[in-house]
This record gives sequence, C-alpha cells and structure tokens, in this order.
Amino acid sequence: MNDRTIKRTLLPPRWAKVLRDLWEHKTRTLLVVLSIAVGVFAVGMIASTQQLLSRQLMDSYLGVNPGNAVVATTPFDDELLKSVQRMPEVEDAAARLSVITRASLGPGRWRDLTLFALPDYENIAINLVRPESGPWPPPRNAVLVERNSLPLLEAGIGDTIVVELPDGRQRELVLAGTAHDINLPPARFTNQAFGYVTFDTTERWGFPRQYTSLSITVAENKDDAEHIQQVTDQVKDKLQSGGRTVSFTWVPTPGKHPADEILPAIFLLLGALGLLSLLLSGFLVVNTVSAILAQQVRQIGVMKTVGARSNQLIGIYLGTVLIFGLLSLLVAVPLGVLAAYAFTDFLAQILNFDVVYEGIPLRALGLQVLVGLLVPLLAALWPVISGARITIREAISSYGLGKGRFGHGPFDHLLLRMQRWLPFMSRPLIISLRNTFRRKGRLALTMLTLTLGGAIFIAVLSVQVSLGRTLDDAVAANNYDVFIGFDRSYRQDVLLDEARMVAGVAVVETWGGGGVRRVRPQGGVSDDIRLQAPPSDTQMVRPTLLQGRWLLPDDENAVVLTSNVLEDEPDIALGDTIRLRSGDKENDWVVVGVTQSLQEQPTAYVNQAHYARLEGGAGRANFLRVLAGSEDPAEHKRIAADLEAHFEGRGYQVGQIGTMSENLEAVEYQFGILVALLLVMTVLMALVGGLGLMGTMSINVIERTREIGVMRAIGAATGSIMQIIVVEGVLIGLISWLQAALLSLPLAKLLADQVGNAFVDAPLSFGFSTAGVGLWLGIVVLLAAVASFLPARTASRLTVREVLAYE
Amino acid sequence: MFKFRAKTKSNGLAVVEADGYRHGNTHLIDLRGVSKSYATAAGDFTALRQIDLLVDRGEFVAVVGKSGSGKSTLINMITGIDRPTAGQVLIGDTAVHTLSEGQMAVWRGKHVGVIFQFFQLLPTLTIIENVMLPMDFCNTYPARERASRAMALLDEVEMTEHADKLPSAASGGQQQRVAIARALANDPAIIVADEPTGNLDSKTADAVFQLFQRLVDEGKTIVMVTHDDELAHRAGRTVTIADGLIVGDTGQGNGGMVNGEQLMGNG
Ligand SMILES: Nc1ncnc2c1ncn2[C@@H]1O[C@H](COP(=O)(O)OP(=O)(O)OP(=O)(O)O)[C@@H](O)[C@H]1O
Ligand SMILES: [Mg+2]
Repeated sequence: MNDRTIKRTLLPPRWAKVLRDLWEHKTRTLLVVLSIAVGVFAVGMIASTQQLLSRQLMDSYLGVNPGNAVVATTPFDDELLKSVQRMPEVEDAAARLSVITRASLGPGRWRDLTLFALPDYENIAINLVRPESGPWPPPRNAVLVERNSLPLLEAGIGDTIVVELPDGRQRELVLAGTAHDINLPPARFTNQAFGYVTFDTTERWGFPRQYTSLSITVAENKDDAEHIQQVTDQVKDKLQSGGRTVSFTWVPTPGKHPADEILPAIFLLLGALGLLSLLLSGFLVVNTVSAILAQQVRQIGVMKTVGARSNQLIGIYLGTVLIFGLLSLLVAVPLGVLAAYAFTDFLAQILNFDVVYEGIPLRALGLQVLVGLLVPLLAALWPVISGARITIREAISSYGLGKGRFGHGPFDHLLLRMQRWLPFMSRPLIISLRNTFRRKGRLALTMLTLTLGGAIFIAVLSVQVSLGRTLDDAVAANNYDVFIGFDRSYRQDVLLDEARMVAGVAVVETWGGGGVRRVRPQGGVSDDIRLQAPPSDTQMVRPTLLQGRWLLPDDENAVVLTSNVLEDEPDIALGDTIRLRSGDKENDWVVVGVTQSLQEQPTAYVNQAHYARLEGGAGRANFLRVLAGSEDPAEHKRIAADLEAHFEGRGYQVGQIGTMSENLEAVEYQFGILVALLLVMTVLMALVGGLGLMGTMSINVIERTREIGVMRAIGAATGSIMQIIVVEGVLIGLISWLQAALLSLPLAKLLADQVGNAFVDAPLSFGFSTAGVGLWLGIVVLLAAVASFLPARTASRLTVREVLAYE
Repeated sequence: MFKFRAKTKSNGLAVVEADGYRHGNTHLIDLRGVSKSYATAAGDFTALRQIDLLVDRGEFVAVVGKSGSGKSTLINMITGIDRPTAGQVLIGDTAVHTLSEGQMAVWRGKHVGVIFQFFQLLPTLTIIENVMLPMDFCNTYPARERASRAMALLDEVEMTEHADKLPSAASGGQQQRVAIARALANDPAIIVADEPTGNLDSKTADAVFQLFQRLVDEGKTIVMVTHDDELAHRAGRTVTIADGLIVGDTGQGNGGMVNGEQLMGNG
C-alpha cells in the first residue's frame, strides 16, 4: 500500500482490517474465492437441476393424468371398456389400439413405428396426448408423430411416409404434424418411433374399431402400488371372462415418471463428483488460511497485546473465511442457476417434457449457501483456532527469513544426499527442490488436491473408455451385421440357400426365437423377455459371461440369461429352474449362465434344436443372422436392403430387418450423454486442481518475498528467480501426476463398476485410459507452469527495497 | 468488595487510601519472589531468580542490564505476556499470575499499555484506526466516541495530521509515537515499554522520552527497558538486572508515592 490517505470508515477497526487485508492480497483472495466457487457451482448446478427437474417432470407427468396401470389384450370393444369403467374400484378407463408398423427410411432401412389409434382426440381421459403442430385430431390417412420421434423418421412435416403393417402390406401416410406424449420412452433411447392416427385410418387398413390396450386409474389409494395391482388383476379377470387374452399388465411406480428410475443414479454420480471438487477447494482454504495466519503472526501478537482475546481473533479470521465464502456464492450461485436451467432444458428435451420456470430453486440455493459457507469455515477452523491461540511471546519472537524448515527428517536428508550424487544439478534446481519440501503440510494438501483431481480426471476418462469397450464387447458378443426376422418359420436349409444368393453375405446362421414371459412362482408374469435360440455351433454370439457358462451343444432345457433379466427378476439365481411362457405353452428351464447386457432387451438364450422341438418345428427357423464381408455400416444397410428385396420377391414374409450398427446407435447415444456429463465434471475437477496449485504457489511466493529480495540483493537474475519458482511448481505437478496415475487405476475400476451397475445392470468392460494419463500429464505440467509463472513474475518484478520493506 | 475509595477513574487500579489493594499489596506493581525458568535442550535455564519488586503509582522506572540479563522477561511478567514459574505478580487489584489467557487479554487491554521496539502497528490499518483498535477489542468507550478520543490521543503525540495514513507512510519515530497513543487508548494506569527508543536516533528518542515524562506527570506509571544510560538516568528510578537478579535500584519508592519505603516491609 502507498501513503495515500484512506477514507475513514464507520467500520470497527478490526473489520476494516479484514477487508483491507483481503483487498491487499487480491490475487490470493480471487484464487480462493474462485476455487470455492467452482465447487459450489458444481454442487449447486446439480442440486438445482435435480430440484427443477424432479418438480417439473412430476408436474408435467401428473399433468397428463397418467394411468395407474396398463393392460394389453387381444382386441376388445366399447362395451367391454364401459363395463370396466363401471367397476367401482376403477375411477376411469381409456382404451386405444396399437398397431406395430415399421416406417420406411429408404431402401432396406426401416424404423419401428408404433401407431396408436384413440377413439376421441378431443376427450382423452388418461395419458393425455397434446397437439403440437398440424391439425388436431389427425386427418384420415395422416399421422401425427410424437415430437420426440420425429428426427428418427428422417422426414419432415407434410411429407408422405410409407409404413408396413404387421401383415406386410404397405400403406402411405401423410406426416401431418406432431403431438406430445410424455408417457413414451425417449425415442433416441430406444430407436423406436411413435405416432397417432384415427380409427378412420386404421379401419381403412382393415382393423376393426377395437382396442388392444387399456389404461385405468383407480378410484382410491392412488399411491398404493399393491392396491393398484389388485384392481388391475380384477380388470384383467373381467377382460378374460369376456373372452380376451391378456398378454401383460404393467403397474408403473405411482406418481413417478419412468425416467425417475435412472435420474437419481445420474444425480448421485454427478453430485458426488461435485462434492468432491468442493472438498478439494477446502484444501486450498486450509492452505491459504494457514498462510495468512503464519504471515500475520506478529499482527496477532500486537492485537493480543492491545487486548484482543483469542475468540475475537478467531472471529476476525473466520470472518475473513466467511467473506471468501460469500464472495464465492456471488460468483457460483448465479452461474449455478443458469447452468441448472441449461442442464434441465437439456434433460427435459431428452425426456420429452416442457419446462416452465417459475422462480428459483430455493432448496438447492439453500444447499449452495450452506455448503459455500460451511465448507470453507470447517476447513479453516483448525488453522484459525490454532493460529489464534499463539501466545504473544511466541508471536512477537518469531521472525526471520522465511518460515518452514528444511533439513529435518529422512526425506530432506535424501534430498541433501541427492545433490552429491547428482552434481550436474544446477543451483537454482537445488533451491527449487528444497523449497518444494519446505512446507510439508501445505505441500501435502496441494498434492492431495492435484492427486485426487487428477485421479478423478483419469478415472472419468477411463469410464468413457470402458463405456466404449462395453459397446465393442456388445458388438463382439453379437457377431453379426444384419438380422432378419420372418413372420413364420421356414426350413432352415432353404433360408440359408436363399440368403447366400445375396452379394456381400459372408456367413449366415438360422436362429429360432420369439417373445416369452417368465411365469413367476409367486404368481404373475414378467415383462417381455426376448428368447433367442442360436444353433449350438453358433459363431454369432460370444457374450461376456458374468456367471456360470455358455450353452453346450447337448444342453436341452438350459438357458443363459442377460444380466438385466436378473435386474427385473431378482429372485433368479444360477442353477434355478424358471418357467417361461411362450404363447400358450409353458416350459421349464435351468439357468446355467448369466451374461453382460447392454441396454438391450432382456434376453434368454437356449439351444435352437431343443427350442425347435418344443415349438413343434424341427429343422425350421424364423430368424437369419448374417455376417457381412465388410465392416462398413453403409454396406450392411445395402445388404439388408438386398436381402429384404430378395426374400420378399420370393414370397417370404419378412417381419423385421435391421443392422447391428443401427441397433447400437441408441446405446451409443445414451453413453454419449453420460460421457458428456462426466466430462463436464472432469473439467471442473481440473479447474479446482489448477486453482489449488496456483493458490499454493502464490502463497509460497508471497511468503518468500523477503527471501527473493535477499536473492536479488546478492545478484540473482530475474531469470534464475523465475526458474526456481517455476521448477518448483512443475515438480509438484509431476509428483502429483505420478500419484494420480497410480490412484486412478482402482478409482477407475470402482467408478466403471458403479456406472455399469447403475446404467446397464452389470459392471462395464473395464478399460483404463492411458490417453487420460498422458492428457493429465500435459494439463498438470501446463497448469503448474502457469500457476507458478504468474506469482514468479510478480515476485521477480519487485525491487529490493519493496521486498525488504515487506511485512 | 473495594474497601478503598478510588481517586482515579474506576479502572481497578485505584490509589491506596487505607487498606491497600485487594490482595493485600500496597503498591500498584508488586512482584513477590518471581522466578522464571525455561526448559531448553540443555536443561532448565533460569532467566529470573526470586525477584521482588515494588513500583508505586506515578513512578517512572527504567530497567537496565546487559543483553540476556532478563529485562524483557521481567517486564513480560508485569504485562502478563509471560507467566512466572514461581512467585506472585500483583498489579493493583489483580493477581495477574492467576488469570486465564482470556482474562489476561481483557485485563491487559484495559490496564496496561504495551510498547515494543519493533513492529507495532497493523500495516493495513490507518494510524487512527490503529489507535482505535484497543477500544474496539476491549469495548471501552462508546463506539461513536472512539474516533474523537483517538484524535485527542494523536494530538497528544502530535500525529493528528497523519491520522488517515497507513503506518508505512510514517517514519520510525512517528510510528513509535502512534504506538504510544495506542498504548494510552484505554487509559491504562501502567505503561510498559521494551526498548521503545532502541530503534530511534537520539533526537527522536529524546522526544519519545519527553512524552513519557509528561505521561508520568499526568499520573501514569511507566516501566521502561532501555539500553540508553542517559535516558535511564533521567527516569526517576533505575533498576539494574544481571543474570536474572536485581543488582541495583536507585530509588525504591522515592520517585512516586509518599510512604513507599515504609510499606516495603509489608511486601
Ligand atoms: N523462550 C525461551 N527459552 C529459553 N530461553 C529463553 C527464552 N526466552 C528468553 N530466554 C533466555 O532468558 C534470558 C533472558 O532473556 P531476555 O529476553 O529477558 O533478555 P533481555 O535482558 O531482554 O536481553 P536483550 O537486551 O537482548 O533484549 C536470555 O538468556 C534468553 O536466552
Ligand atoms: Mg529484551
């Protein structure tokens, strides 16, 4: 400070001191404030998003009057619907017809498109569908596409699309506009499109004016899943006694959007990373506050001499920390809220609902204020208390050049000896080395910040690698490029011969398969499980086994399940006998293995020969798997188109056709979102680490200002002073990098397992990001160089006089 | 509780009228058999040996002795900055050696003004704020009177025109004068100074000394460590320390109150 006159304040002198000290060390204040702000921002963004999202999602979801249960059956009419509506346990019931079609995207390319026909678009009682664009209700021979599915159809409003009905007939539909239905799964997650038509349209296609699914709301206890299940069973009985076959019933968690199952896991993961970055910023607070107290030890002595009690001093310094916290809130809260709005919008778009902002997420804001003030205070508590307790005698007698001792302990001796072994080390380098280890406590905390930050950085990148590897494994496990399903079974040898006629087909297998449901021992059935029956010598499925073994050629009633079957049916264990229902047949199977699943459909693998016998069609199959000679996805699409044309040209009924790479798109998309979120957290982590290092380096330099002055006074050039400081910073960075690399391995494994369990129901195929290790090396060295260069430049610019006057 | 009638302000250091102070001491400063030893690597080192010292109100005592003789240790006993290993330190109504750290801080802030040789003023506070600081910490004087009181004190040391500058803008002698003003902030009865002029040229030192003289005339009691024989001589009384013992005392009791010698026996 200079000799200008200072305006008198009304503040008591001790608070004037707090403010001026903060102002005098602007850089230090800024670094601490920013470091806390990053942590608070991360926590705030995630907490606010969670609060905004869950409230908004809930509001939007409840706003469509969601059904308490869905019952899918063979077609029924208005009369049966009315009798369900009249049931006293049922508040209301709504019915719709579902027609499963596929829309043509071009030659040989199809997208699954489920069309719903609703009886009255002006009066939808349950599971409201809202108009978005175009006419309402949809005109005859026109479809309103669910807005989230529109991109999947690769068509625009006003275009005409071709859909193929279940029996293979193709019909044209005008894409008249869009509608919004929050109840459907995110289109990009399933690669499945949805649309709305009227009965006029479906009747012209030959479907009777009947329904295939029924949604109900219960009259009472709407939050009681068990009660809802009971009512649903009654409805089911009613339908069945009316001669309908109920294929499945589904009771979603009452009052919760289906996405609420996965969101908590995402928020937990991100929240944990956010808290961790806040924790890391706490380390810089510890370092800074300790440095302030060490630097002001004589001021503390003087204040005590004029009557300050320890508690007053603790108040002064905790007040300083509180100001750090408040300033960081000033930065973090608005940014956090803005980021939360953006993040919420992003998630809302994926989950397909509209966000209506009203005010600020107060609970999350409260949390931010709490952690933003509490974490620094807690971090500072010990240094402040121990610093304020120093006696006057200790305080006024401790001065001299620099603090922190070097020359004690085995490590210092090692360093001293190293100089003898390595005589080529330059003098500045030796000084850097010694300086680095002078303040061991501070070094430890800086190191910890950088190490943890780096380890998490590498671990998160490893999760990304693992996600990729999991995807690769999935590709390898499903070692085919094109699949075709037929509406009925054909002789295997005929199918094989036909397929081999198409150019580009390298290997073909015929598989059996269909949809089954598990008949639960305690009653009821599971959701749909995809049954796959590959030949016993199959080359096209090589799954990663988690438990047990793969099918053997002479296995008969053995079944291998994907891990997500176990997620839905947790009572199944290896070796158990389970009963699967296919159509009206039920068979028992022994579980011999469990394989890793992606977010594909729950699947059961059995041997083809045995399955064909059970189905009464030995030597016949209804699926073809094709391995192409080329790896090119475009070539796969071409082969698919040719295969389809070939089979249809010869009168075969092709039910579904697709390529593996297209199938993986949905999974890749979901993984991509996850990786993007994790990367944001990684950047924040790197930021906290960098700020921590920069803070510590500037503290180190400030503390050594006097020493630097002495060095200058005895003729040290600016260059050598800078060199000493920068080398010290880079050294810290390098050591922390080494530790981070070591620590990141177990951390990455842990994170990959957790992410896998949360998102794909099995640990990910682990891959370690060596590129991440290299990247962090670059980042940390750069950070360290910058973090030490800036304070070094300041220090080397000081004149000898300024330095020696420095207090 | 107080059996005497106070002549001075109610600062707990009232003049003895009849029965003496609360702990039976009749002198404002009464050190009884005070010893201090430090544990060092080479065994215990005794810095003060069974010191008895009486200082009465209004005395100006110079403490002299060679470096390392124990001067600072002695006056640190009076200010409570250090605690005796044995013996009693009675100052006015207070048995200083029995106070906790917290009580000590409050007591010192109100009753003793301390002046050091080096580093006195807080660098980020202006001169007037430095002077106000003791009033802030000890919560003496109503908040709105503090600035005017500080100004009055700065006036006494002729520093009013520098009031709103930072200490770094003042010379060593000026800083020492501000430190004296600050030592007076809570109107303590006793001023204790450890080599207050040690860092100053002889002319500035003389000015500081005259300031002390004036304070004594106004009724303050001053105990000052000095290496300057000339200044020591001009103080009313000189106590000489060597190896932790008082080896000379020019005028016990003579500098101040009437019956010092008479009461010494009671100590
Ligand atoms: N904390 C301590 N531990 C050990 N010895 C101490 C300690 N403080 C002081 N001493 C010793 O006690 C003796 C008296 O010290 P003191 O500071 O009172 O001397 P002084 O007379 O004030 O000297 P100077 O004129 O140099 O200030 C010295 O020998 C000193 O080394
Ligand atoms: Mg001394």
